[in-house]
Amino acid sequence: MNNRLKVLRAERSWSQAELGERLDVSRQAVNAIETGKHDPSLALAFRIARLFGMPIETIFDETKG
Amino acid sequence: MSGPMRKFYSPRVFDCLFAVAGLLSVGLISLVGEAYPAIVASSDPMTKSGALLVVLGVSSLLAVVATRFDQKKADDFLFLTLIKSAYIAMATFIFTAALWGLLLADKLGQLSSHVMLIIMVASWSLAYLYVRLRGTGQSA
Repeated sequence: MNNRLKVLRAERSWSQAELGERLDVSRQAVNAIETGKHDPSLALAFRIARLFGMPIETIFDETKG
Repeated sequence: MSGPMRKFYSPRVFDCLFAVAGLLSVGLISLVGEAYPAIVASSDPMTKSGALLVVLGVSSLLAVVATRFDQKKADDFLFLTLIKSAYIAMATFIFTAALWGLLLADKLGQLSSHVMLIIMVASWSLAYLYVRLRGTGQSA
């Protein structure tokens, strides 16, 4: 699954660890999502969408990365 | 992921745990040459079967509680990593036991229960390493 997490994080100058803190997940989890190695759960996808103030479908794209 | 368990439920901690377990189990594989422990026939097979069912039931309840705790405390990346690696390890263990039994047991001897336990730990450690490198996504 493709996603824009890395771009959105970079726009805010957040580190992976900082984003992890805000989402209450580990830095490794953020890295795995950004690199397409992990598809977040629905609950985490909603938390990400809320944090960035965007609909889920503008952050995640169901096509394979 | 909050509270005092936060630091424990970190992928880095589990990386270290599985690395140590994997190295230990591979090191202990030398036990493969030890004699197969004989199983003494039970004088009361019904009691033995009943006891095994009770132990099985208690163990499965413990596993359910432990899994629920893990899911509550770990983030979904770590939990999915543990699940996927356990699934691969379970299949690896069954295939190893079946292939050994079918192809090698007659020539090289049966595997002891101790070695089976070591194979189980080694399988989970290797599977964890694979999942950490490849990820939990559908293409992994």
